[in-house]
Amino acid sequence: MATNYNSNNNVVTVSRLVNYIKKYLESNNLLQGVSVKGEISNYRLSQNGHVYFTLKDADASIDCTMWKSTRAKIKFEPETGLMVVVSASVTVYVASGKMHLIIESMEPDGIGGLHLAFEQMKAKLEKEGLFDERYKKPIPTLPKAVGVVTSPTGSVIRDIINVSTRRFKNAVLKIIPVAVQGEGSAEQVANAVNLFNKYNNVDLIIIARGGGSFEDLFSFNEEIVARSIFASKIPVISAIGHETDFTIADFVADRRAPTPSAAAELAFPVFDDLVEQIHSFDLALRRSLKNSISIKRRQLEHVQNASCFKYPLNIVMQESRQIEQLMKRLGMLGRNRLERARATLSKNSGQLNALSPLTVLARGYGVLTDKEMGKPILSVAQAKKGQKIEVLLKDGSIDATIDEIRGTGNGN
Amino acid sequence: MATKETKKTYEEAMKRLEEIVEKLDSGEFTLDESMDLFKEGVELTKFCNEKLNDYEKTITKLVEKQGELVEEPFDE
Repeated sequence: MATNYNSNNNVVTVSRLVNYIKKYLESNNLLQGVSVKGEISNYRLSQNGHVYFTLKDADASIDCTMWKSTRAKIKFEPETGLMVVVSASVTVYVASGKMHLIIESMEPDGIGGLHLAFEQMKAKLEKEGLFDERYKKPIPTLPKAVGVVTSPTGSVIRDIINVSTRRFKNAVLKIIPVAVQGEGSAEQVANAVNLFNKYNNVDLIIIARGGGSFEDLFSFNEEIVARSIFASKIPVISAIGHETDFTIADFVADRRAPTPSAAAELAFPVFDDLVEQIHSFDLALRRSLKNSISIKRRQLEHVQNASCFKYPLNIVMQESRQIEQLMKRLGMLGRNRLERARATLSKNSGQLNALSPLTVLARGYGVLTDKEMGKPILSVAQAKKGQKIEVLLKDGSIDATIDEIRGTGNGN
Repeated sequence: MATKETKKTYEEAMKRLEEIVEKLDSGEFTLDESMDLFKEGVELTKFCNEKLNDYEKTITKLVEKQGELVEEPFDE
């Protein structure tokens, strides 16, 4: 009966029961700091920064909570579907009576957390375009000053100083010493890059670190370093670890050098090479001007050799020859014309001669003309008896009178 | 800013020098133009030489103290 139960001393409240279970589980060392392997599902980040998810395998699942402070210590991004090994403690939420795991640390299963963090960060920044070729700034030919972000001790800074000054005797190096590994190292590196940009007192930055384990180099995989390099208006050369080591900083940098010495080689030209280069330009200039002048000279000579300059009288001579020729032709034409005229004249005068009455007269004929009228008398019809006439002979004339007329007067 | 300008000018000077030599080599310019190009080129080589020798070897350590940049000699 209900009343019986109520009065029974064994009856406990829900609160008491749940709290008892909670204490019981929490005091069991086997359930505290236990390593559990499983797949993350339903991963969600709350607004206050705590993380909730379910850890499961094929047959079972358990709710998990990871406080913001724990989450901050994990380098990689946990996500749904990821197999992880967690170190956790079992607890119970009194309000719901549900059992939870409070996550104390987390590692990806199979691959190290840092490696996963590296892959994740790389994928994230690549997607954002931080590695894009189009953002890479050119390395200046002749940097006035080079900023170096590295440890102030050790071989790296010595190598950079040695190689730089050996190549370029007047090298100007400004060093911002930083911790290249450990707590706060990434922040120091990022700050150094930002500082150079703030004061804008160098025109190239080298970020360098010697070789080390993946964990040692990890500061250079941190997002804050990548962001500072990407934001830098000053070109950045990275030289982290050995030639085979690639860090996120290397991907974002404008240029990756395999070693710190190589970075110095990229940064500084060989002084003597530049002097030589300028000298060869100087020579080329003189040679080119000489060439240019000799081309002009050849052009001038070519023009000067043109016949009109060489034999300026040619034109006059040519013209005068033409005139001469014209005159010759004119003369020939004149002579021809004259001869033709002469021939015509002689022919005509022969004819004229043949027809001349004087020749007839010479043969003994006479010409009768009416003395009064002066007209020639060609027929008896024109004659009258007693008419005074003049008879023209070859050597003079005779006046006569007509005594008798015979004939018909009909002409022929 | 001044640093940047100087750097730019050196590279530009070298680029311009290359251009000038090429132009002069082409022989496509009048004599006056060629002379001008030559003079400009000689000025540029002088300028580059000066730039090269303008630097003075310094190796310093930078620290920002109370918002001010302090530059001290770097001891190896």
